[in-house]
Amino acid sequence: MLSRAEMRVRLEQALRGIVIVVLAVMLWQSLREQTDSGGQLVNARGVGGGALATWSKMAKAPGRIYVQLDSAPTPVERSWLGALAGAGSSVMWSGELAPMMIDAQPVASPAGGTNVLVAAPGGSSVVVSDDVGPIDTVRAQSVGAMLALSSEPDLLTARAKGSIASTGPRNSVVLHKVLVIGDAGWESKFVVAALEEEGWRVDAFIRLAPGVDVTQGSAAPIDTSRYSAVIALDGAASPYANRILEFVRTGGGVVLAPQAAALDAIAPLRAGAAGRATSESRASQASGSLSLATLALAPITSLKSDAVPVEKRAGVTAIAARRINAGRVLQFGYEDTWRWRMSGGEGAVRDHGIWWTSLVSSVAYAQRVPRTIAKASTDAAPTIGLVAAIGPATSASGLLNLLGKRSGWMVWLIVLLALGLVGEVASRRLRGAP
Amino acid sequence: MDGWMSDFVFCTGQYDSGDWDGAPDLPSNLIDSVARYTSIAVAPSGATIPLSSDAILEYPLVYLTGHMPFRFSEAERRNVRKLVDRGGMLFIDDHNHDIGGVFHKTAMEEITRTFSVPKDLPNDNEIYRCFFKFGDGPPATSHELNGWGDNLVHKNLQAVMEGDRIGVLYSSKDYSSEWNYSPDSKRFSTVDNTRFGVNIIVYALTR
Repeated sequence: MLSRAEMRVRLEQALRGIVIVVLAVMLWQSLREQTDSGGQLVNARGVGGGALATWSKMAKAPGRIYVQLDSAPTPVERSWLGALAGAGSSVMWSGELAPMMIDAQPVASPAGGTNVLVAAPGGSSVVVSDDVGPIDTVRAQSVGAMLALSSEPDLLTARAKGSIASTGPRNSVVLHKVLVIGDAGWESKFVVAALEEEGWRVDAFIRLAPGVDVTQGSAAPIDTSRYSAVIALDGAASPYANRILEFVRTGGGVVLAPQAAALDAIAPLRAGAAGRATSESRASQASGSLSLATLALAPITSLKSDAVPVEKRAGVTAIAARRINAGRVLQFGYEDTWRWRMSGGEGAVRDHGIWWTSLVSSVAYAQRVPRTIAKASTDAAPTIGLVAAIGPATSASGLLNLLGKRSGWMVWLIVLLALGLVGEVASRRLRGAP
Repeated sequence: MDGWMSDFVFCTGQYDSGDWDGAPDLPSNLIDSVARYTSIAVAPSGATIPLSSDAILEYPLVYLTGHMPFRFSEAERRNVRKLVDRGGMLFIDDHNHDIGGVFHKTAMEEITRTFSVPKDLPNDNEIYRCFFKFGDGPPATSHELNGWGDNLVHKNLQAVMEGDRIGVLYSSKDYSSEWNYSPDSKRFSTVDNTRFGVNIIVYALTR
């Protein structure tokens, strides 16, 4: 049994041991930081001004690089940060970067044009520019904005909340002819006229009498090497139904007018059942200047499971679309669209043509030809690129927590060290030992 | 067909000056021919529409005829100009068969003032072969062959072209007299003389 004095000596020895262990842990911790992470924490605002080069030229790479960003780094800067991370530095970033992305697709239309899609924070103001200057400013909806350009610029940029995304159309499109199949009548005449006025090359099979067709252009087989799209207007399409179906399966586009969509032979193609225009719908057509909104509408009903409504009017489906293998079908319910051209307002002829072009463009088979663009000059999704290179943002509070944990750990070690020393010295002094 | 697409309606244009209704049986006769020879969905009755009404634009083929001096009012001129600009076609026939007659002179002035100077239409134009074939151009009428009117057999029709299509077709041949009879009487003819009328309608509907 130990005496009280012996127990006190043992306690002092234990306290000395604790002090030595704590000192050893602190020494080990210090050496580990030196060894594992280079020891240096770099805290920078942005990556410009040669900072990346400075960090790369240091004799020992920084252990931790923390950058606060106001705008997305360029592709080169992102790659550089990624390289530093790959070389052993722990690279973290923070900042309120707008998640921007821009995409540009050529329009399948003789007039050309580009559809621009921008992903940007909802409500933000997006400035779209080409290589000459600003083109337009659009307000982003829930996830972004869309812009239709009549031109085909080599470079497009979108700016919102300090972020800049840029791209250029990667492909050009090669269009073939459009084939119009219909009975002799005003609709077939003016559909052909509208498309030709908009620059399409049009072949037409117009049924005049049993066994008598008027053929415009060459009576070529219906395939994607000759035609980009087929427009079926009415019962004249019935004898061609199987060929049209095969055309769609191989990538062709088909536009179905209500009377054609109602044919049994066309059933495998249509997006939904073709209804009949209501008397109210016809009455609205009979009065005043016509527009698309007042054309008689035969609603599309009983949509197939793979069909999607594209346009609605007064709660009923006016236009619907579906895919069939590689091709697309667009079915509309507007009757006698020629009336819009003839009896519409001042711009009716052009509006009618543009509308028909938009229908055909949305389904047309268009062979893609890659365009040569300088990839280094484009940066379609800078924020995504940054995340891909060095990971998602670390919040400022997260970084402080990280630093705070280490500080707290050291504080507890120091407290333990101090308590051990004080206790051991006090014990010895109180018992009169040196 | 009761449904999606409207039928073709033969339209006679009504104008304020002169007499526009000199051939009341012509529409039904041509409608009968179109129904007889083609599968074109055609309304059983024609329509008579004032040229000054915007409703004329719902009839992209308009037939005009007369004997009397012919003048467009401003509203008529505006509408026929718009009709042709938008892809429609006017067919104007001199009911006098007389190039020295008042209808011919005034109609040519009005066409020139509203559109441009009509030119002779080549006899190999598509209108002569778009359905029935007329190798010699416009078929002669009995009025021409009998020496009535100006005592001439007119070799050509006249036309104002809109690009490569006919915008205004003008005839001095008096088809209005030639085709102005009840369709029932066709059974007495060895050759239906309205066949060129079918070509005019087919042309208007397909070109």
